[in-house]
Amino acid sequence: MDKKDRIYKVLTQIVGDEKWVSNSPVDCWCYSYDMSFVRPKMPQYVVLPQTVEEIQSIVRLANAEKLPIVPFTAGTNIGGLCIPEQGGIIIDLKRMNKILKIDTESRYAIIEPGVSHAELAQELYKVKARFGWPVGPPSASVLAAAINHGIGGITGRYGLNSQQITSMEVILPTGETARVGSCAIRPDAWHSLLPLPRLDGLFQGWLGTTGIVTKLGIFIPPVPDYVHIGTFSAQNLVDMEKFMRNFSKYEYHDDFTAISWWLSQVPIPYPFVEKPKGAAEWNGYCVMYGFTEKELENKVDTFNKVIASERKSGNTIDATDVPEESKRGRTQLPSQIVGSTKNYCKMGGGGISWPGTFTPSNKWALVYDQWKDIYMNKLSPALSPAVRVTMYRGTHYGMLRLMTPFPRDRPAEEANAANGIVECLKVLLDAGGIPYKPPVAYQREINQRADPGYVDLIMKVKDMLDPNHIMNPGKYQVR
Amino acid sequence: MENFKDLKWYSQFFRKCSKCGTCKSAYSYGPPPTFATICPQGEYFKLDSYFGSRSKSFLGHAILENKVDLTDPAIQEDMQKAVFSCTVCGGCQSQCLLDYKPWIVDYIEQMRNHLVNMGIGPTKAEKAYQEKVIKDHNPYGETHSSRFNWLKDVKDLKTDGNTVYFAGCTASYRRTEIAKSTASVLSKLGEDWAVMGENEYCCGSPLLRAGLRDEPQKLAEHNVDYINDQGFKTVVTACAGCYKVLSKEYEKWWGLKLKAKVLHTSQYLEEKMQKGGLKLNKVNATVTYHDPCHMGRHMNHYEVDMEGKKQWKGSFIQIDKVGLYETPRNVLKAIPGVEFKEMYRNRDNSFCCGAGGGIKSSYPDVALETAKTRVQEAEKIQGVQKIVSPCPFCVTNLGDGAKALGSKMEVVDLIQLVDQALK
Repeated sequence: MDKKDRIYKVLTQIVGDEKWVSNSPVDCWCYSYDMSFVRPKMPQYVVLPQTVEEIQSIVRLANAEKLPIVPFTAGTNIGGLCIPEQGGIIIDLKRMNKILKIDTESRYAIIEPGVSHAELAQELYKVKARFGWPVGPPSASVLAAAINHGIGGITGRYGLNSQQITSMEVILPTGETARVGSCAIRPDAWHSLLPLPRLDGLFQGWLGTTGIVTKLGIFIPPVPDYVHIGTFSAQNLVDMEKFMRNFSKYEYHDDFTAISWWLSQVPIPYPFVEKPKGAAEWNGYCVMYGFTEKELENKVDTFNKVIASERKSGNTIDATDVPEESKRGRTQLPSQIVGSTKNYCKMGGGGISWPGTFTPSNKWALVYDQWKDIYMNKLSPALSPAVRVTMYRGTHYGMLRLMTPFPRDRPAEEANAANGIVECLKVLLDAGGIPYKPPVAYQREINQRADPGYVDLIMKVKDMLDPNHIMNPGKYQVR
Repeated sequence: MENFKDLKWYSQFFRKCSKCGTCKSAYSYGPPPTFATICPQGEYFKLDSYFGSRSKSFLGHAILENKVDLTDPAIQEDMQKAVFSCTVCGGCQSQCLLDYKPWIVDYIEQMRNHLVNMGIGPTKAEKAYQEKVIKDHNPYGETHSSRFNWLKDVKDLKTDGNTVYFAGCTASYRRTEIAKSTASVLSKLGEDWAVMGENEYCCGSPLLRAGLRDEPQKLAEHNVDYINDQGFKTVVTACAGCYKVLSKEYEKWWGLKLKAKVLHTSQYLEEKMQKGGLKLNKVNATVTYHDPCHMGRHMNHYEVDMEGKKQWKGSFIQIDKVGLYETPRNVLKAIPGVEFKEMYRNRDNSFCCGAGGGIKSSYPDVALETAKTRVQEAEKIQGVQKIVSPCPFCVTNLGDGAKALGSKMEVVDLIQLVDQALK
């Protein structure tokens, strides 16, 4: 029996049925690429475990055979994170899709990797609880987004989805299980990472290169009874950012976002079109909630006063009146309609990628101007500078990202978009922004600029946790 | 008339699939938010290569651009399984929001045709029923002469009149109670109706679904010629599959236009109701309704801007005509004594019975598991005793599912319930 057949047979024994294993190129091809411009790379095997023990056995097999393993949930990220750089085994976790617990008193839930935003949203709605629903596809994995610093509609109030993590269970690259947070001390306590050492940091933002998270505790705050969506526009990002910075100090917002004219179009125009004369270049929304009417009234009153005060100082910011339907799109998440499924990709032709970054707000305008120059003047065809900025909790940083659709069936145009994206990334990195969920092409740029001690530490941690370098190798471009 | 397009033509649309995975489950914000599984094939196999229209986009790409070696017999087998084990129910199509959406069902069947032309299809089971259809004009291997055995007891049977009842193969050979109920209803309503007798051939649906083209065309030409020659004004069928083919596909694929109006029995009954010609008696039953894919979402009509006059070339604008969702429900609700309770998954988000796309023959395990899931969904509705569906094939498969589960759930055709109410 050759190695390929032998490994296939062992994988089958581990998961108990041939149905849950494939080494067929037909199946493997369907795991070789995603929405992004990252080129396809084939795994040799796909396996669908259902238990922690099965995953452990797969990981031990991979170590013995020195085969790469890549955790996979929905395959909906736009950074090529599940594309197996060096082949190996895709561990598709969609059969592990249980919501194990929803504790409304202690306000946390425990989920498995295959739980989608759609599924969790349905269950949390029943108990008037919520989570940071993104504008991504409802089919995306809650767990995968959270451990990779995904964001959602309550990021302004509570922080990133990774900041809502309360505990986790992980299978290490050597096959042992580890728990971090309160569940490490008592198996049924999933309420808090603190005051223990933040070992969760070994598994957050590591792009699936340090372990496989098999259970995640997440904070699920209650849904307030009252909501107001303030909308506003400005002629430029300098004015927009100044207003957002000044109002965000009150921390009254759950979601505080502005989008360039090109992103406000449904869908994003592809290729570039001129903004109509007189149209505001920036439009924004601020979602404010209150548990009482009075609480909300105070927030709205302050919001209006800040707008008035800014206008007095010459800021072009102004309150706007937008259709209720558009406003609902800000709170009715997760959604099939908003975001990457329709608004982003439809006109471009199926492909979507971005430089999505964490960047201090006072750098937004500087970077945006350079991005515009690249997209509008240096690419052929020119592309729409469809940019979103969002204030995260605390305002010391926020999101700055450039949604870039492209056609999947025209390689030259796909390359044009990929080139533009990487050029924009360089500008961003030089201004101090940091990309999240970065594809390999970004990682090279990051490493070139990184402090050698940082890269060395990354390698040391990887060597310690993953001595055989089997966990999603190649993603960090350090070996 | 659209004519069949080749796979390369469809690539302009399937390459627009973003791989977002929205097609893998049904979801609506609501409120309340609702989530449900929607893809029978994906739910059974779980691999991403089997899930929704996203997987079919991957596979089309692989086929057209030689990303896998389709000269290798083992890979041929895997490709056949991935493409031919789909029920082609269109559940994924209902979720998609991109320009790929309008084409998904036709594209999957064209992918099958492409594989057939490469010798990688149809499946063994489909080949077998193809031969049976050629020989006896039905996929069940029964003699053509026995097609209308169920009519033995019908008095004063005619082969001419205003209305012709196109029974279809399943009702003629396997679900004769549905055929008998249809005949009974037509007679009770005083309809001047007839059958095609030995001139009724399989509508062609089972072969079309398998990616075949020549044989179904011959069947279509035969049926259309006969119906037109006889001068029937209306064709009534109780089969969702026959309805789709007769009312839509004969003309769409081959430009074969029936002069007669094609009505599903539920449409026929609704028309009677609207004219006050349907007096129904009480039937005490608590029922739910299963939407056949061929009558529901497959009959949606999509507005596409092919020339780029409104948006851009090939852009999906909207669904400008929806399938038969309300008509059968209206008939069902009109029966006194019937308490109707909706399935959790319904209309565009209905879960397939599992029989479509040649699956019942080629992948019976997939068909049965899917049917069991659907029956279990009905069992969760308090008090429901019957699943009603206006399709003999759905009734058959859901009935098999109920039997496999040992369920007390009864599965009946809408026409049977109406027949009961007309007594």
